[in-house]
Amino acid sequence: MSEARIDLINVSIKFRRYQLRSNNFKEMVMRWIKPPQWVKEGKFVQHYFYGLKDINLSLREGDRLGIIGHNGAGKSTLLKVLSRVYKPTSGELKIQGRVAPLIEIGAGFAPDLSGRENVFLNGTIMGIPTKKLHERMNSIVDFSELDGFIDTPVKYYSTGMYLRLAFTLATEVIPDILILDELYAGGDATFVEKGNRRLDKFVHSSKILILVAHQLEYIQRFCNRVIVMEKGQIVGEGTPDEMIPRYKAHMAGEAGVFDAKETCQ
Amino acid sequence: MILRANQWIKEVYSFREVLGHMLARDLKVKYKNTALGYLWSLLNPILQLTLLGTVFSHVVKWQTKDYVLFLFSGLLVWNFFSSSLILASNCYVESEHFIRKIYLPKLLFPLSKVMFRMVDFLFSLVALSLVAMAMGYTLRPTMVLIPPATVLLFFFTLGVSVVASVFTVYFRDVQYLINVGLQMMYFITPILYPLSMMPAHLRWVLGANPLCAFLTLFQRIIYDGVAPTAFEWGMASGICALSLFCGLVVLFFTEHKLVFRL
Repeated sequence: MSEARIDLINVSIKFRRYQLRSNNFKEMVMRWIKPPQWVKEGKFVQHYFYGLKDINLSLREGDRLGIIGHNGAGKSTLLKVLSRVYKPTSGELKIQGRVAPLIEIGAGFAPDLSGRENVFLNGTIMGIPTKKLHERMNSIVDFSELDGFIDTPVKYYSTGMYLRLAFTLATEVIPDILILDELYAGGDATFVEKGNRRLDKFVHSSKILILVAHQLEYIQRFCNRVIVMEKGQIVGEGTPDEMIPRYKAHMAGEAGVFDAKETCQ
Repeated sequence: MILRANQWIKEVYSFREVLGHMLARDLKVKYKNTALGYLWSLLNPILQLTLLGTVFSHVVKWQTKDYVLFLFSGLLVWNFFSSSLILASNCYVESEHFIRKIYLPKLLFPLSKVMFRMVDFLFSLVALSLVAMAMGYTLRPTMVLIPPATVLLFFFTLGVSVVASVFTVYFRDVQYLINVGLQMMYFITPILYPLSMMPAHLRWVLGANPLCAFLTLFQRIIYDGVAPTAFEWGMASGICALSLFCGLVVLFFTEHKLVFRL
């Protein structure tokens, strides 16, 4: 088993501005026949912007990275690059190890299938062999408190049940790299506590954890490295003890704590 | 390009269990809440064959010898192709929630849909063979040629489906065009009537229809009971390769961009 590691070298993601996208022939043909005002006037509106710009980051086993920043700072975009949903426009991404992306709870759940069937579908997507899922089924049902409901189609699940199953599945077979985005939105207090204990265990198994959270206490509790993002760039990097107070000061409106270069071009 | 195709094959192989579960999901969802379940996969082609067979041999009174066998081979190919195309063309759009959140090889989506229809194809083959035997026909030795012909048909359909599914992401209108296109194609494909009933000056229309090459294979094997000629095999293989190539080229240029277009 090779060591888990992640390297991002000068990774940038360029997005197209939304209004330019057309999903039908009419719009495309119309734009061709009758170009919009800005094309006629020769004014080139910026139709690309950077979601991420020149991100350099390397993570080794034992790194537990917290990502903080405002809404729209590029945190989720970075997670999507790490889970290979977005391919970098430029730069390079190297990943070694099994990634369990828990970007959004139950992302791949098929509503018509039962909890059990979804465990198999989504478990294999995360790279867990079917055989192993069979072995772990009971413990998944136990931990997610879905006894009696595991064969019910997940469309009848409550938000809490959905969330418990997804979280349990992602953390049942400890992945090399776990990516979490705001995981506890919607969980009840007892399950949150249970989940936290499980994450503590994960933390001690010295794999890579990447966590995005608005609640800074989670970052403090689980992470040993923090990056602060602003406008698609990493503007600060350090230990939670260094970064969290600085970030709080930044949030309070102090100028010059973190500076991002202007990137919208 | 060749390297990428090689990488895709490896990727699909490493995600084979996911493919299996995707296929299982489609199969399970399909007949959920029906009383007869999988029996429908057998019943559907039988009913279709009975209906068309009755209409065209008794009502229209076409004097085509062994009309049922003729219909059998045509419907088999047509149903697989058209239903795969309709289903697969929507595969990226309907899996939007998946694609935006989780990485999966993009080839997996159309592949699982076409495989799903392949299951139906096999059910139909069994059902229609049963009907034919019930009507007193015996199984022909040429039927051993069905597997290679099926492989060609499968990859031809896969290629067309990949192109259609990617285009649908860029222009949602494509799914409606496909419906109209298929209806048109239905009438210029010799499914209901044999090639010989087509006026000679219009036969080129059929030549322009790529599905005809595969239909010919199946009609030779099932209806005529003779092995297709080398030319017919070559024609089908060539069209199959071309279709697969187009599919791979389209995917080559778009696989990383699809997620931004959904």
